[in-house]
Amino acid sequence: MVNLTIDAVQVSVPEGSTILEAAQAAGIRIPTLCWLKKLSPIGSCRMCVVHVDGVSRPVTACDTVAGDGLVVTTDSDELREMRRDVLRLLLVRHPLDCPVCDKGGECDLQDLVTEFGVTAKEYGTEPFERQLPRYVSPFIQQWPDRCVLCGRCVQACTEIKGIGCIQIVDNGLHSYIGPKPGAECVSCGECLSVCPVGALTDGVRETKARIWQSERVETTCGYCGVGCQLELNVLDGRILRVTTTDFDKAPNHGTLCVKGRFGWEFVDHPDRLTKPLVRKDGDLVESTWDEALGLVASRLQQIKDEHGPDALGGFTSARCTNEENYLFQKFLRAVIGTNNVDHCARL
Amino acid sequence: MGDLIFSSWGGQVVDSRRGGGVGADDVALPKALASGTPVAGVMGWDGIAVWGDGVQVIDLARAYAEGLVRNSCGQCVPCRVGSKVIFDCLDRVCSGKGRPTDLSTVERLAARLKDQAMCDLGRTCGKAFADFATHFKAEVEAAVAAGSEIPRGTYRLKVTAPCKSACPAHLDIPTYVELIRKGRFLDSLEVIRQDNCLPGTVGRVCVRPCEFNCRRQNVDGPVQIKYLKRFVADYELDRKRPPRLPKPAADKPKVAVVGAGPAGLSCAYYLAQMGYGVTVFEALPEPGGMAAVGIPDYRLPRQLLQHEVGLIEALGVEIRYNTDIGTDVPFEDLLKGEYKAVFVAVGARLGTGLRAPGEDEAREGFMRGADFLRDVALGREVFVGKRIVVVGGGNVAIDCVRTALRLGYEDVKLVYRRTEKEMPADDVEIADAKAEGIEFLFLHNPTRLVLDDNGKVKGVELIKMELGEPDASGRRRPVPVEGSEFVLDTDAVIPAIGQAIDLGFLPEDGPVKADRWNQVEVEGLNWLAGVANGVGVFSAGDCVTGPLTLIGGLAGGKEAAFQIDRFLQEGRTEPLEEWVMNAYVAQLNPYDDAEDVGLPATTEPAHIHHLPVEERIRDFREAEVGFTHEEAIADASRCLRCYRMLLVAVGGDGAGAPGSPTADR
Ligand SMILES: Cc1cc2nc3c(=O)[nH]c(=O)nc-3n(C[C@H](O)[C@H](O)[C@H](O)COP(=O)(O)OP(=O)(O)OC[C@H]3O[C@@H](n4cnc5c(N)ncnc54)[C@H](O)[C@@H]3O)c2cc1C
Ligand code: SF4
Ligand code: SF4
Ligand code: SF4
Ligand code: FES
Repeated sequence: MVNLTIDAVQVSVPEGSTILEAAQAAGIRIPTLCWLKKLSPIGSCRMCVVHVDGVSRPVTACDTVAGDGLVVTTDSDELREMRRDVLRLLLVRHPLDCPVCDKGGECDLQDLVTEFGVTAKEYGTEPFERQLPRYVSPFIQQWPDRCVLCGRCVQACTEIKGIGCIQIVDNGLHSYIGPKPGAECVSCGECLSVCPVGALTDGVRETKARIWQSERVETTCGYCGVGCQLELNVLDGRILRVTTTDFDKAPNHGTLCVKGRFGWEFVDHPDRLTKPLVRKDGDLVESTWDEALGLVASRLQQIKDEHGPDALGGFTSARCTNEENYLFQKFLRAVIGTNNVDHCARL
Repeated sequence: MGDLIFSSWGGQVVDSRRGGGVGADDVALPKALASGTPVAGVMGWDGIAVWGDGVQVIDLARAYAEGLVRNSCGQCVPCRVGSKVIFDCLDRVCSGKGRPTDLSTVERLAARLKDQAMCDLGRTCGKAFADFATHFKAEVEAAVAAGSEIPRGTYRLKVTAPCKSACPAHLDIPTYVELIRKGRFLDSLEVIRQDNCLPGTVGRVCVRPCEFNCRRQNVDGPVQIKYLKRFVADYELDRKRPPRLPKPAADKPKVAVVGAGPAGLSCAYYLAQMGYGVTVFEALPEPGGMAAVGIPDYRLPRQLLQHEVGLIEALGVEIRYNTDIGTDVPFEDLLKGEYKAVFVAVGARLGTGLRAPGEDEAREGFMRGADFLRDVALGREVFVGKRIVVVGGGNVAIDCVRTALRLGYEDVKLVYRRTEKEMPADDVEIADAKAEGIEFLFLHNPTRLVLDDNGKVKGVELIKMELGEPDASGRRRPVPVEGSEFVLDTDAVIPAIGQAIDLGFLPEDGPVKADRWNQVEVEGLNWLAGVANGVGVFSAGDCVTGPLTLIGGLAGGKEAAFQIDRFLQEGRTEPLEEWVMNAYVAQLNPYDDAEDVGLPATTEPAHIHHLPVEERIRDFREAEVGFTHEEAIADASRCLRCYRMLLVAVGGDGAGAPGSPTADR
């Protein structure tokens, strides 16, 4: 363990922790923008500058390792002014189209600008136009001018997904997030889920809503047996998008695959079956749950009576939850009386 | 050249603008490039200096800002955006449209860059702009008031880093280390391969001048640049990833290379990538030169070296083994026209002796270091007794003692005429040898061999030494203590005090000449040794420089390849612009061991692991184990990315605004 003092609070953290982690352990908040708990430190935004006694210039808390005996100050007029300047510089190219931005209301840049009271456009550059190639898939929309180049998306794509199909392209103020040759985007949306601003947005559905208008319904992804946790953003009974905001939640820690993140349109698809069908005289005819389940129950009973329980078998699906799968085998074993039960994920 | 007008270089301000004449020589900056182009002023990581007439400092600063806009990597906010804001301010002033607030904006953002930028490119530029804003305020105010245009001057721009500048091959170290930090190991290797064709080899045995120039050591210890290189090379191999190398079209003339050592291989690697057909003639049955038959396997496994050479062969390079130029094929044959250029990279293959009595008469138990190591490496029989004395203080001597131990010698002594402090061998090597039980005898020198009647070594007579006055190298000269001779019993003696160059294959009247140290004579930065019959003969590596280093050989081979290309395409040789700037930057020394970097000392370099001594001295298995992923990433995260930019104001002949962004690196 290393022991240090942050804003006069003594704190003890495991060796190798950063100053930011130490501050968090002590309950002290240091403003950050590029840092994200599930990624290794990026160090690009320079918001998290702090002062360390005896060190000649400010250091960034997110990527500086804490050491024994350090005396850290996280707030001062000078540090606040440095942080303000970062925000002012970010606003030089940021379009301020918050009213039409998907992220409006839950945007880290908006929050910080509000917190630090940065209003005026202090700095400016001569205008310049740029035409950018996009890396986006049909599911991911890119808004390069909103990008703060924090680098989270690149880091997440490389470090979490192990794909690395995007990178910072070009130099200086012309740099942008672009495709990296040699690796293919799989549209998983990991980048989009870590973007602190509205530079990467979900391209599935046109209808959007302010974050405070939609309801967030926590649920488990139905596509496979992993059981990823996600939030459906629902407005008027319709899904607007899927988000993952709780990076601490197992098993997926905010990560999803392309199906979980973008494959939800079937929920209110017009072709979707909403009522059970029963085959009558060779045709499938709309029916009621009572009739359909009654029919299944009586046929199962009949087969069991005529041929014994082992004439029946059950096969269940990875798209059911653990609990449903458990109940299913219980049903076959205890109710039907057979061990003939299997699951698609075993194949 | 005009008098010094202003200098803040190195933190010391000399200002002669307001009266008082100061000579241009008062500032220790070279006044011309190696190409002869005069330099009138510089703006760079250590400040601004102007001595030539006609340098417009505001334009110098604008060009510097333009350089930053082009080279800023775009990651951190102060530099990505700040550089453009600064440029726009200075550009307005230079265009006669300056605003009264422009200078204060530059000043303020310069301070942000200096203290808040992520890497040293932004930080050092911030310092330079701060110097500008402080010392050229009146000039800017006058320019804003006058509203007239300032003409553009002619400049050369170079981006470097202390480690990169110190590396003979100028590897882009900050970039490859940063890619490791980001987990992009194969991308990192790709960057390394641009300047180094043997990454796994160099990543094991390089003498690492970069690390001795690494700024992180001013905080808590150098970045482990060498082992990080090994890490990514091993990663590719362990994961069986296909190496990312081009498939060149061999559509250009044929070039012959003599010697498949590092220099020859490196030259072949670049020539093949450019499309030349390359044939390498090698006297030995295997490739690698001293890396194969000098450096022992426990430091550099031969399979690895051969794998890396295999990749060079896969580019279309043909290596003809067991073909000694001079013995098997006369050198003149290479000049007959089949090959349009010849590259001589024969290294220094002869071991040198002690020049002590008894040497010539010895029949058993005496061998020169380089011969001993070569014979062991090639599996030839060597004499093995119980006791051995190796003479010398360099890495070759250490290789000999550790090899002797692994062959079965029980009592291994190293005799060196100075003290441990003066030993040129790497400290790490010395420590490893000590750990393995080698006995060091400092301040002793052999005076004669003691032989029995059959010429078999029985002992060696040593004399005690003491340190006297410093010699030309700055080390204190060892002087013998008269009458202190004594005989040390031993079964074998190996002098490991140097190698000599074997140029016996060169015809007397041929195009290639040897200098008085018997080294191949070449033309300055061009590596041209002579032209015969229209065939250009170039040379680099140990046979030009004397026994040096692997990376030196690789660098020489690479530069020679570019000169050979220029010779064959344009019919002339001339150092590339890039090397001229590299040479200038090196004179300015981008590493300052007294600099306060401004970080707490809270990390430690990652440590390489060693096999236990008992295990490793039994045979020639590799003694070191590479980093784990976690260790590599943690160490790479310690890199400060010390890029820095130098802008040089030159006379009218230079190219104006310099090339593409990455071209500056
Ligand atoms: C024991 C030892 C340990 C060393 N350890 C290190 C180390 O740890 N780190 C480091 O950086 N450097 C080390 N060096 C130095 C390094 O190996 C050399 O500087 C480097 O190999 C030089 O490369 P080169 O291509 O110029 O010459 P060489 O490596 O000597 O290659 C020359 C090649 O030319 C061949 N050749 C010579 N004459 C002819 C001919 N007439 N016809 C055909 N072929 C010919 C030779 O057989 C050889 O293969 C060491 C050297 C020795 C001897
Ligand atoms: S797209 Fe978003 S996550 Fe990626 S760099 Fe830009 S702001 Fe950061
Ligand atoms: S070059 Fe360095 S200072 Fe400039 S944007 Fe990149 S990280 Fe920041
Ligand atoms: S800290 Fe990194 S960039 Fe700086 S000198 Fe060391 S290796 Fe090079
Ligand atoms: S949060 Fe530390 S630099 Fe961005």
